Amino acid sequence: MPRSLALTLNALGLYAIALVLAVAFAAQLLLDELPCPLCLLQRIQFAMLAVGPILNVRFGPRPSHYAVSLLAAIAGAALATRQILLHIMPGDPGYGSALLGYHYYSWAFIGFALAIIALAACCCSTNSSGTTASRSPAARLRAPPCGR
Amino acid sequence: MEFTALFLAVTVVMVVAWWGTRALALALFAATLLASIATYLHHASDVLKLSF
Repeated sequence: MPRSLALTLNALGLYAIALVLAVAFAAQLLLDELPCPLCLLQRIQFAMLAVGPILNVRFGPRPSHYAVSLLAAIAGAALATRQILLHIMPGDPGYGSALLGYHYYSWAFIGFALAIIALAACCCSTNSSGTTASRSPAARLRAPPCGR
Repeated sequence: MEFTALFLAVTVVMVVAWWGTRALALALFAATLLASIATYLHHASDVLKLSF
C-alpha cells in the first residue's frame, strides 16, 4: 500500500470515528437516549481507536500504531458483545431505541469488527519501517547495494 | 465520575499523540486501556438499572 494511500485511509478513519461519536452524542443530547456504563465504555474505546490513526498521520504508518488501535477495537468488541449478551433473552426489548433494526450496541459491535478486519489488513501491508512491503526480503538482497 | 476521567484521559492521549513524543503517547494509551478495563471489571457485577 502506498504511503499516501495509507495516510488518506487513516485520515478517513479519523473522520469515521468522529462521525460515530457525533451520532452517539447526538442521540444522547437530542433524543434523550441516556447511555449506560457499557455504552460509555464503548464510546471510550471508539475514541481510543483514533490514537493509532493519529500516530500514523503524525509519525508515519507503522504496524505498532495499527496494533494500538487493534487493542482498542478488541476491547470495544468485547464490551459490545457483553451488552448484546445481556439482552439476548427472548422477550427482552433491548436497551434504547433501535437504528435500522439494530440497537446501538449491536452497531458498535459491527463497527469494532469491521475495524479489526481493516486494521489487520493494514497491519499486513505495512512493514516495520513504515513503508510499503511490496519488495520481498529476497528481492532486496538481490538488489545492488547503494553507492556502488 | 470515573467515566468523565476516562474521557479526559483519552483526550490527553490524543493530544500527546499529535503534539508529544511517540513513546509517551503509547505509554499513556496503555495506561488508559488498563484503566478502562479496570473500570469495566469494577462495574461488571453491577445491575444495569437503565437497561431493564
